[in-house]
Amino acid sequence: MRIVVFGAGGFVGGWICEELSLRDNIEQIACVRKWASSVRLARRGIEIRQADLENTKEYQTILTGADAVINAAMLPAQKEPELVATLYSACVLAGVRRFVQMSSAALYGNRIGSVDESMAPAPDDAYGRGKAEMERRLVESSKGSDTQVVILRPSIIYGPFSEGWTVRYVERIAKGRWKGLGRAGDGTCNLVHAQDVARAAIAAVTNDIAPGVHILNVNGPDHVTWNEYIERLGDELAIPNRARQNAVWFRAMSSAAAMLRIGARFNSVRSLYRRSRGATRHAMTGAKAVTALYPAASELDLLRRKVYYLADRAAKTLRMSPSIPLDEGLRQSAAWCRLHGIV
Amino acid sequence: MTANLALIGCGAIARNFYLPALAKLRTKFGNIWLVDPSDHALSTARSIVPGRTASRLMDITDEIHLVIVATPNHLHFPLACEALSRGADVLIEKPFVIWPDEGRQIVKAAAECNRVIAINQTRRYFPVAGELREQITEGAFGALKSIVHREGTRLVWPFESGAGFARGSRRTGVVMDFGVHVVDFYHYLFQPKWEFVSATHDGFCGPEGLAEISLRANDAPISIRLSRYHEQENIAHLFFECAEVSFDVYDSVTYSVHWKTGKSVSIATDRSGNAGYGKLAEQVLLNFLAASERREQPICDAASSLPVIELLDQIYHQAGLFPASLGAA
Repeated sequence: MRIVVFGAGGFVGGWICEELSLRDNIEQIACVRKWASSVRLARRGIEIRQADLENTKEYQTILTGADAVINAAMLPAQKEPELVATLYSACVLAGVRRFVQMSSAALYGNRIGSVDESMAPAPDDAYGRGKAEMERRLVESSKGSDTQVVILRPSIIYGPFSEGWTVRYVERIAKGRWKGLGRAGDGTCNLVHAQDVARAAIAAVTNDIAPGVHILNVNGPDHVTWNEYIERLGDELAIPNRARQNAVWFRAMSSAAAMLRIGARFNSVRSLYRRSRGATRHAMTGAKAVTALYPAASELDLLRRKVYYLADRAAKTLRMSPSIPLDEGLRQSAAWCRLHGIV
Repeated sequence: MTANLALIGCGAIARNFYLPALAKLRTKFGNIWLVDPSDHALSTARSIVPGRTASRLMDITDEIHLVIVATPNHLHFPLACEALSRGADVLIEKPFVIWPDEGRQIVKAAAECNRVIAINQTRRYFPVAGELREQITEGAFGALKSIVHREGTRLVWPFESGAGFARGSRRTGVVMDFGVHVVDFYHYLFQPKWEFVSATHDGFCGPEGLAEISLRANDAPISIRLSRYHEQENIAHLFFECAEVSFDVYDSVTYSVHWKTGKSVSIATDRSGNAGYGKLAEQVLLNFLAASERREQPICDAASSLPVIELLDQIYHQAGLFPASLGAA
């Protein structure tokens, strides 16, 4: 089976390609936008091609003879609906049998409680709106087509190589000595291991599934809060002298960080940072560290949101469920972070 | 008479390093030939330095006195040989060869035809390198006790070609990329007797992105971690009998000395004022030109870089692999 993976240089795409490289009877072509993002793939001897989704000509020939396409490319929210629709059209023309598109549970926005795929998207930020519109266009395009569409909506993807939900939190735990965030972190942390997401994407390509479009949540096997995630990750990393953050102080610092982020957008401030020396440099470096440590408003909302994304439909459709327990995922993540010098 | 020059390879290193410097030093050269099989690369190069173009060195009919080899690593050796056979002095991008035997052949051939083979090991041109080398030679810090070097950043280099990531590509990973800079830098500072201790990397079936290397330089342990995935500490710590010397690996001018007496100083070496990347490129070209005219010794020539290639060869031969299970490395 010939599978083309777009966005292979990214976090999820990299996991999918590495997982594919271990399977028999699979010929994969990993597509990256920039060669520099090929480091992880190249070490496994994976065949890599350069293809930018903004340039149809670059990928048309790659699709020739492909049985399936997995698109894990991270695209700008405003462009994503159009670019994915165009890629899908090219897949239809090339006779691709199945098209798997990575989406995100972010399109459920601030819904709370148990959320399944029957609930309409309610995005509350540009990223979620981009995903929702992309899905709508893709489902629309697939009507009457022989190229079957499967859309996956993973939740919080953690594990080795996860910059957003592993590396960033490890750095925050280490630098801020976080043990938990008190009331600021009592929301549900819908963690799913990256390898489980990769397996779901591959199952969506290789398994026999019922005709029609499938939209599937992908979530992990454990129910934990953000506070539990932070505490258990810190324990696994054996970071000493950690303390639970005061929720009021934490939110106040997050507001301060938000203002610093706005300030950092001004060229004059950036220029001052580049030219700064001594005490000014020290103060500005400290301010930069604060912006990295404290979350933005949208992330603060996420940390308090009590929502659980039900993934029963994926288990039934793909006949596989995410199986990596949190304990194992955290152990692996901590070991990987140590090996890579992150902590 | 000014020397005619051919720049072979008009990819990212040419665009970012050699071409801007050639544009500034244009009057010091005669005809400039830009050589690359890609029309796109040639047209970009011509927009920086107007020059004649060719797809191969053998297509140039002019007499060529100077050749810069800035191609993917595996082409350095055959192109350097071809340039030597045309009687040119050659400047080769680092690493100047992949295999020690190729290096030995180039050193021998250059000596036989009395040609210069200069190597762009940029860090030797850092003002901090010159100053530290002088201080170390004078014994200012006492004997070297150990070195801890953690260097890495997420790879963002604007590669024109995917040659270094292609299936079957050999020795194009972080050891040959960042590692050749690091080992060459310490080789330049100490000229030590090297001893391989151990190495581990993640090049399971291709070029590695992460490596841990342990060496001994004149019996002092050297611990090196190199990463193309994540920002590392990027501070080198050199522990001597009398002091610890540390420096930001990407800062070409500043280093700190923490004396065992408790005194600490931060020193900005600004003797040449050549701190920026562009200025370094000009320095590399001027040194190459001067070496070709027998006015100066090359700061880095093939013979002095060969022990580094031999050590890297040993590292590759004897390195083990990190656990290959997914997520483990």
